[in-house]
Amino acid sequence: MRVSQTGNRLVPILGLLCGVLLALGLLGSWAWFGFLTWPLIYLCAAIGFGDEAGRKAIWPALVIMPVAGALLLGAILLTEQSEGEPGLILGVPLATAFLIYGIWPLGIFLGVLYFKAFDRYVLPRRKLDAFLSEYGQGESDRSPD
Amino acid sequence: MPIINSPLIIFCVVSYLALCFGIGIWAMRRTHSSSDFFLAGKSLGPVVVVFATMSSIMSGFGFVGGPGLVFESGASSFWMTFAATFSMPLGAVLVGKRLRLMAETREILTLPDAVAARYGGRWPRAAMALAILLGVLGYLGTQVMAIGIVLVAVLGVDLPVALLIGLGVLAFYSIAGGIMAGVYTDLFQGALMIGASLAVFSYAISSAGGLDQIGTTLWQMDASFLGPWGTRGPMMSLSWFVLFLIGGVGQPHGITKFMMLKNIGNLKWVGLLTGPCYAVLSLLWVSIGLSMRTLVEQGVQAPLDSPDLAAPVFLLNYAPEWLAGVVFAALLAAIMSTADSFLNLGAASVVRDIPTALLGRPLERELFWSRIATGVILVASAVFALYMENLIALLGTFGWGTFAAAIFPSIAIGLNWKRANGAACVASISVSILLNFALELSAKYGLYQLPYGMNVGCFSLLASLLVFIGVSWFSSPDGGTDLPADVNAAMDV
Repeated sequence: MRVSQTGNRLVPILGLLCGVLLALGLLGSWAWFGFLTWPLIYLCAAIGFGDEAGRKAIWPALVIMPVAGALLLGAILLTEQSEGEPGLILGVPLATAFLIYGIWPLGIFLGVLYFKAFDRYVLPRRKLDAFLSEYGQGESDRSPD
Repeated sequence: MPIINSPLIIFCVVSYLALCFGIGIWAMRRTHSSSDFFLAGKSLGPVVVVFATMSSIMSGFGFVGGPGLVFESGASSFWMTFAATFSMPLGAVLVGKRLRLMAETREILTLPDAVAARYGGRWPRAAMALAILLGVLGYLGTQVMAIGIVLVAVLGVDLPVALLIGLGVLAFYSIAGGIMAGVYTDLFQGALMIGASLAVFSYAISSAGGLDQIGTTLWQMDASFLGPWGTRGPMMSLSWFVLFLIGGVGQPHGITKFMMLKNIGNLKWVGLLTGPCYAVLSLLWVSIGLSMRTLVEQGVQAPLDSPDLAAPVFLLNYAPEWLAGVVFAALLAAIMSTADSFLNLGAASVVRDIPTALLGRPLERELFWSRIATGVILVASAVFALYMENLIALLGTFGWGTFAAAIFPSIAIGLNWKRANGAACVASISVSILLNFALELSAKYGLYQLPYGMNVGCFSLLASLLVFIGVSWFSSPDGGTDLPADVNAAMDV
């Protein structure tokens, strides 16, 4: 039986990260809490993608993680600039623009990555057919009343 | 909510209710088994699943409470609604494939069924069923009350009469057609909500003088209001982000929809489209709140008695009557689509999950008893909503956080990590229920509050996840190799 899943390596790190986030939250270290939110999301996604898909998906994710961190850093650094003219970008101050026009669309990237990786890595036809031929019930389950 | 008294709005809402009734009759003829009742016979296409997932997650809170939160605290709640754009694809990544594959090999109709298959024994199933039932009762109570409030405003009738009308329609289509009626009404409801959101966004921004006018007015009022953390501060905003992003994957009314897909290959479309569709709904949430606050600051609109009035007052005073009619129908749609999902989950807990945990099998004549249970739960939540308002308010607050903390570790992590075990599942669910209840109660009665604005649900989620991973790690020295062959294979694909 195969137990060397990606999850077996990454889940303990996720556990440690949860502990650190709890401590940071209780200590009020919100900036570090915010930065470590991105590895939390990334770890969860990597655990879900699994071995093969995870290896292929790691490169785009490694690009996106620093982008997300930089956007959050921008929002943090610009938060304090509340004097004088607001310098609006599409109706919001620059710091909030990092959130609305930078961080928000990143979620869509995860969906696109999943879509692109699906047929080749997430659920290849050969793996699905092998699984269904060995364990499938042949049709969708319909339990009689 | 103010009394509306508009024939056009009444027409839109009554037409919507009539359509739900019609879908109920259509779905009743297609519901022949408990698999049809709970999982729509695993027969749905990707468009239906995308819309059903999106509209069941966007409850009445998103259409009324969301704009109210923006009105009150500015950008703080952006972190809440923006998180859904991440959590919906993350749900597909973490649980979509595993749940759907497991549903292909055995009779898995509910999340407790999946937990029982994964962990074995009766306690994980019982704990998961209990957590779902507790969350359902709270959520359903708030949705039932919201249906009553909206219909009182639109039809101008007393609350008991409004509840009788709204819940009568909901009861009919949920009891007769089960989740089949639920998802097809969700399809219509989702389309209605998306159209309404786009139109409202356009009207809301122009009513307040455009984006730059809104930004300048609110900046001058309070620079922190439109800052990235709003007036609630960074810790609250970020903990909302974690709770709604990671915890979104633990919402049973969302993730059970993955098991309803006919073709597993269509999961990729669900992962791709659900987030952007929800993002469109967020436009209503954000734009009404910002515009109404601007209009109040400009002196165009009198101050509101409550932030939750932001959406209804905007619709009545600043949107064309036809749009107000569509949005009130969409608001009712948002509430009812969430309520029907919860009714179905509650019925499954009572008829299938708890009896199976206690007796080793579900009730006989499962479909018949599921319909009875749906009706009983609806009546019970109406009674709770009318006579136990405080309890409902507490359970409503507790709902999302409990689902997140109880379900995410055992389902999202447990289906991807073979070392996880039943003891960890029971321990994390117990911790999630205890922490959520204890911390919400102690905050409500002023005994203790988490420091720095840390959200209770976020704290409970992280603690529950830590307990789940820790207990699994220390109690499975063999690395977890005693899985059933089909479950093991589903986790390897």
